[in-house]
Amino acid sequence: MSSPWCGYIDMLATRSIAQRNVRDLRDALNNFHSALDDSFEELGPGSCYAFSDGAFFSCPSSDEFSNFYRRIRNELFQQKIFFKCSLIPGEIEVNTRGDNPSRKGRFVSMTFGGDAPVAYQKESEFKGVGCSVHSSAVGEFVDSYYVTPGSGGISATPTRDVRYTHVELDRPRADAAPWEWRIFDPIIEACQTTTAQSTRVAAYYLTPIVSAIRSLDLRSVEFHDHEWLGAPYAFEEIATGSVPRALRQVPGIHFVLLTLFDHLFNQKNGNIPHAVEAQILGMMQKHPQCFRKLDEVKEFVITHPARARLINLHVNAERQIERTRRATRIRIARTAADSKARAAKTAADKERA
Amino acid sequence: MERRGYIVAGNTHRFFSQSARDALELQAKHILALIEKQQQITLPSIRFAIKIQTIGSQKPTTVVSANFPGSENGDIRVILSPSKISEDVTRRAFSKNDLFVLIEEDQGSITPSAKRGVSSTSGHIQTHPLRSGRLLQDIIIDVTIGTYFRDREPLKTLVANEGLASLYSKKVAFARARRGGATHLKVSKSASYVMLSSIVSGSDAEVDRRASDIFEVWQQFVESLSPPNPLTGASVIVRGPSGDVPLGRIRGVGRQLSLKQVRAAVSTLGAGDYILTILRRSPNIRKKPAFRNQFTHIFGPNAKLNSFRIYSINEYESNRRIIQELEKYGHISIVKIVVDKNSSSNI
Repeated sequence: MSSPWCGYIDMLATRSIAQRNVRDLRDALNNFHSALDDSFEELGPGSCYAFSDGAFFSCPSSDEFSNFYRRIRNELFQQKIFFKCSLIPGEIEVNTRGDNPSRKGRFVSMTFGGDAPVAYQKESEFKGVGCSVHSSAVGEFVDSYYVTPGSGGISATPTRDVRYTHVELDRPRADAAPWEWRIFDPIIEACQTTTAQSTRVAAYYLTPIVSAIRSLDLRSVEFHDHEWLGAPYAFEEIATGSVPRALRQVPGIHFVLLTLFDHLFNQKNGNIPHAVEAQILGMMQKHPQCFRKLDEVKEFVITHPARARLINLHVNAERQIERTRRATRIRIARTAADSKARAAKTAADKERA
Repeated sequence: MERRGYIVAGNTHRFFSQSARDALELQAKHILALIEKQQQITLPSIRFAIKIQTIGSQKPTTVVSANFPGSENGDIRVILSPSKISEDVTRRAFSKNDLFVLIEEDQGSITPSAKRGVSSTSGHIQTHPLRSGRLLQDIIIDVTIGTYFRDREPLKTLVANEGLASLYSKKVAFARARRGGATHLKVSKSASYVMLSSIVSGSDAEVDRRASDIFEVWQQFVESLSPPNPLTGASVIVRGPSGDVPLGRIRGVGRQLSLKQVRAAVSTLGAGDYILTILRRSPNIRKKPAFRNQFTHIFGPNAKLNSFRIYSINEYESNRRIIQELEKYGHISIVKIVVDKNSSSNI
């Protein structure tokens, strides 16, 4: 018999929405609850207690959670409503204090016991957007991480997230469910917008980008005749430099690029076609942070074999650049010397004449 | 104040996704930009956003009732719902708005139909789901164009004296009178509001035509509100293919083109036939080298919009090519007039 699972989901940025516009807050809260309502049937015999900008939920298995979570994520992310969520083994207990007819007014209270406080704590600790899934959960999950900028530098902490579907990361497809849309763009836009307000909070949005990268199928990716072939939309947006340029101010963006290379390397079994490698390397070289202190980057960001390959590529590229520069300097010097010699000869010829 | 529209629907509605709503708003803004370019005018800058209120397992009526308390809805101009919304709920929430339109989708509605709203400043349209996007665009466009004309006479005085309800009922009367030409919107006798943008033809993709037709119909509506020309006997008449009409009945004359100035110019002429040319496009067009000499030739170097010049028939024949070229592209209007010195009316 599978063990029960539970968690807590918390809408982000409610305070800033409220400060901006009360109507916007009302819309966001309504749509948050509607998303939970729409997805509830996926929980099976589970339960969900939604109030204000948060909700506790429980379900008999992590599979049911994945289906429930995926629908909520799709519905809310495309409306640019983002959240943090936790999933842990355990159960939620609810204690309701109901109406007391002897009182004049109305007092209703719900407190959540069992594993609810642990679920709440796990969600609080998670500094990313999306879900932090317990390591023992089995299902459609991907390894991810969240990034924390600090005075000592930028650190990454491993986590697990729910895998994105190909519909959510690629161009429109006929096999999409009626409620399923691409949600890669709203994530990037939200990250970019948040950068203007707080780079620390913008870093939260790197987690779903990492999860999205790890969800991509890159086995068929090729680059030929100046064009990407077999490349999902999300991959192309990063590989062409569009996303890195937009998010260049976000602390930790270089980790995301390292993860992209790592995922591509592993999907291609260590044999990335030369043309593809050249494109990815060219894009990464515009973000020099990618090649600093590579040894200190954690294994869960970029695996050792991929890291070794990347260093090798980078060093060869730097050497080629240096060779080209040297050749250019020599050519310029020779041209200058030739010009000087010709000028001197012309002057001497004139003198003789 | 940002104006808002809401789609109150489930997550399978065709306008649920942000990208679908963005595309709607973008096309409406594109049409407004085209109108500015075609007419060489500057429209007021009005922010209009289409939002979503998802319903989950609730009915649209329940969501509207819960989420739109009456005191905070003044900025809401439209709600689109896939099913009926209770009149009581709509009346409670939106009857005090300067303008509110409820669009209800109905699979059985072949042609959109405008009906009575819950107040004199609200409208109610039933439509097939495939037409609802176009109607949302029409509201965005009408709010902007309406604001443009409301800043000018005669709408400025009309609204000041009679209120918005009177303006809207006149729009309905105008739309009903034009009904014969428009097969894509039924306007009932009891309708309290209609978007003039909705009574023009043209497919969704024909944006150039929609833009010019929308402004044209608004101009015709505004001119229909002008007081009748005080001239009774026609001392200056226009000779057209369907008969003679007084000069004051010609589009724009008497309102945008001063009849007094025309009379003054005519008073110096002998009786006979003449050609009246009127500058209809902004003089900015004359900055283009292709047109500069032509405009200067006819109207002089500093002519303003609605400047005019009267040619005798002989003078016109000498300049026919230039004049007809400019008329062909809509830069000027040409009107054949007959000056009758024997008329008992004042010139």
